[in-house]
Amino acid sequence: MNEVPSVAAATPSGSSPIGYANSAGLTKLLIRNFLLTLISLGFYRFWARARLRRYFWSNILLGGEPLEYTGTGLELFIGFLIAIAIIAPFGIGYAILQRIVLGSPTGEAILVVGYVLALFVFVQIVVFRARRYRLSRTVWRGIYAAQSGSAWRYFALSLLYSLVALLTLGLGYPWRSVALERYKIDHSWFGESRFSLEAKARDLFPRWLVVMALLIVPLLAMIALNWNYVPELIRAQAQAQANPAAFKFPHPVAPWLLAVSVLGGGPALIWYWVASFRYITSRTRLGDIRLSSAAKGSSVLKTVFVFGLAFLASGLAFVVIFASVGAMFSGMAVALGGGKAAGAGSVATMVVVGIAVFVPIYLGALIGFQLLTYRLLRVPILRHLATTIEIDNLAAVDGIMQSPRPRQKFGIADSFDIGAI
Amino acid sequence: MAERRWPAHHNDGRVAAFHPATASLESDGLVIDAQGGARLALWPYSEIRLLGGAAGEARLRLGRVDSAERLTILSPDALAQLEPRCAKFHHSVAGRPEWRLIALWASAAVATLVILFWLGVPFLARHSSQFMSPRLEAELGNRAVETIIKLTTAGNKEGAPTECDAPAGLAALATLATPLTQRLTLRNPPRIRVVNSPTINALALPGGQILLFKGLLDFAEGPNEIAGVLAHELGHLALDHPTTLMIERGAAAFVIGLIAGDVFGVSVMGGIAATTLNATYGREAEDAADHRGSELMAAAGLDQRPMSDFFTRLVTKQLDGDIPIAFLRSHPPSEERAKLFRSVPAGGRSALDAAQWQALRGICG
Repeated sequence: MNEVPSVAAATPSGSSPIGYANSAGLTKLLIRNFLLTLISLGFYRFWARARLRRYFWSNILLGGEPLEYTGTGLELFIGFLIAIAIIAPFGIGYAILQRIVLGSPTGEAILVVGYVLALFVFVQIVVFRARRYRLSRTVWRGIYAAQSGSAWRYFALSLLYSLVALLTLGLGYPWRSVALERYKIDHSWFGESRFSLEAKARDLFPRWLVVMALLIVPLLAMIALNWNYVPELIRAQAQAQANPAAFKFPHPVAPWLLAVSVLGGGPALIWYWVASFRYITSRTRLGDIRLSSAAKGSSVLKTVFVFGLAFLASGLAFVVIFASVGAMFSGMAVALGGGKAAGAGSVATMVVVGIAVFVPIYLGALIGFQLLTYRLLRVPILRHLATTIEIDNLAAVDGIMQSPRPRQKFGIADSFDIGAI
Repeated sequence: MAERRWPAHHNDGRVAAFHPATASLESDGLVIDAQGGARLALWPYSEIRLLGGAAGEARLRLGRVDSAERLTILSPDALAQLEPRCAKFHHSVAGRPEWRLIALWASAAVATLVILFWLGVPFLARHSSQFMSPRLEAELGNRAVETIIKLTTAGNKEGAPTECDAPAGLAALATLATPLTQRLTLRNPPRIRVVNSPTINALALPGGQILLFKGLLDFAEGPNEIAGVLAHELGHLALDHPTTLMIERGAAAFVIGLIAGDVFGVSVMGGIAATTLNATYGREAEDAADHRGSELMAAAGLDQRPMSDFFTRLVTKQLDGDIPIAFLRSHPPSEERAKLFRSVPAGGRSALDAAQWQALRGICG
C-alpha cells in the first residue's frame, strides 16, 4: 500500500475536505426537465429526478473526489410501476369510502383518522426505503454506500417515540429525532465500513425548549384559549372558505399568539434544525474517521430570509402581470361578446385565446418558482451544510473494502414524492 | 501523432484507495497499468462510460458499465481521443435492468389499472352506492347541483335569477312530473329544478335531483317531449347511475393523479378526468335509461311518439352545428333513438293541457 498516493496529493488545496463545485448547467437542467416532464404528461419525471440527483451528487466533492449517483430514471420508473400495482387498489378504496361517508361528521372523522394513521405508517416506510435506495446508488472512489435495517423496525421506533413526543406535548421531540437518526446512521454503510452515531437527546433539549417557548406553547395556548370556541371556529372556517373576509378570531389574544408562533417560532425552528444537523454530524463516525460540522443557524436563516423576500417580490410581480393580462383579456371578451350573452362561436374563441394567454403565464410562474427555490434556497443551504463539514483522519478511508452485499434493485419507495432530492 | 498514454488513478472497485496508474489506448481497449508496469485492467471500449464529474476540471472520470471500477485520467486531452472510440460513452454506467423485468412489472401495473378501471371501480361503485345513506347521498347531490348551477349560469346578465320558480310554472311542472315519479321508489324523493341557462340539457344527479335547463324548455315543441326527457332522467335515477358515476369519477381522478404525478397539480388532472368522464354514462346505461323511461311513460299513459320527433330535430340541429355540446355528449341523439320511440304503440294522452304548457314554458318569467 506504500505506493498509494496520500489523499492530500489528490485533493485540491483547501481547508475543508468537503467542497461544493456549483458547476454550471443547473438552470438549463431544471428548464429541460420541466419542459420534458410537461410534454410527456409527467412520465419524464423519473428521468428528471435521476438527472437532478446525478448533478447534485457530482457537485459534492469529498477530498476533491466527487460523489457519484448511479441510479437511473428507468429504475425509478419500474419502481413506480411496482408501486402502482400495489398502491392503486388502496387509493381507489379510499376514494370510494370518502364518497360514501361524505357529509356524515362521524364517518368523515373516522376516515380522516384512518387516513392519517395509514399515511403515517406509509411515510415512515417510504422515508426509510427511499434512503436505502439512494445510498445503494451512491458511489465514491468505486465503493458503494448502503443501508441495512428494516423499514418496519424503523416505523415501530418512529411510532413509539412519536407517542412519547405527543404525550409530553412536544417536550420529548429531541428523543424521537435522535432515536430515528441513530437507527438510520447506525444502519448506514460505506463499503464494509459502518457508520455510527453517539448522540444524546438531552444535548439538544435546551435548544428545543426555545422552539417550544416560541412555537409550540403559543400554538397550544391558542387552542386552549379558544377551546370553547372550537365548534364555532370550524364553522367560521367553513364560512371563510366562501367568504375569506368573514374569518375572525374568537379570542382577542389569539392573533398575537399566532404572530409570535410564526415570526418567532419559524426562525427558532430553522435555528434548531441547523443546530441538530451540526450536533448529529459531529457525533457521527465511520470507523476511525470522525465528522464534524460548523454549520451556522444564522447563515441558513439569512438564506431563508433572502429567499422569502425574493419569493414575495416575484409573487407580487406575477399577480400584477396576471391581473393586467386578465384585464386586457376581459376587455377583449366584452368587445367580442358585444355586451350581450355570448354565442357559442365567440365562447369557443375566448376559451382558446384564454388558454393561449394564461397557460404560458401559469407555466412560466411554475418554472420560475422552481428556479428561485433551487438557486436561492436549496443550493445555498446544501452548499453551506456540505462545506462546513470537516473530516478527521480521512486518510483511513483508503483501506475500506467493497461490500459483497447485494444491492436493492429498484427505487419502489422512491416513486413517492416525499422529502427532498 | 497525438498522445496515447496518460497518467491516471485507478479505483479497482474492491478497495477505496487510489492506485496510481498509466492508461493507454490499445486496439482492443483501454489498458490500465500500475506504475511498476503490471497490468491492472483492460477495459473494452464498448464498456467505457463518461462520468459527469464537476465540470471544468483538468481530469476525466471514467466508469466501466455494471462495475464499480473507476478510472481518473489526469489529462483532459484524453477526452477527444476516447469519445470516438467508445460507442456508448455517454450511456449510464449502471447498465440496463433486464427487459424481462421491465416487461413483467409494466404489464403487472397495466393489468392492475385495467382490472381496476374496467372491473373494480364500476363494481365497487355500484355496490358502495347502495350502502350510502340517503342523507349523505342528498348532500353529495346538493354539492354537485350548486356547482353546476353556478357554472351554467355564469354567462347570465347580472342579477338574473339562477333558478326559475314562477308559481304557475312550478304547478305545471308538478302536474307533468307526478304521474312519472309516483311509480318510482327512490332512496331520496325526486326533486326537479329548472335552471335559467340557455343550454339544451337535462341532468340527473345523486340524491334524486334532476335539473332541467331553460334551453330545453325553449327547444321542446310539446309537453310530452319534456315528459320523455324527464322519464329518461328518472330512469337514470332508478338505475342508480348518477351516484355510481360520482364514485367512479372520484376513483378515476385519484388514479390519474397518481400516474401523471404533479406536473399540473393533481387536482387539475382530477378535474380533467372528471370532465372527461362527465361526458357519458356509456351507451348501455343510456339505452337502459331510455327503456326505463319509456316504461314510465307507458305506465303513466303518456303519448311517447313526440320523442321521436324530438330526437329527429336534435339530429338536424346537431348537423346545423349550432347546438351547445353538453346534451349531445350525454345524450347522443341518433336515428336509432328516434326509431325506438317511433316503434312504441300509438296512443296515450298529452302530459299537460295548452294553458299548463304555456305556464311551464314561462317558468323563467
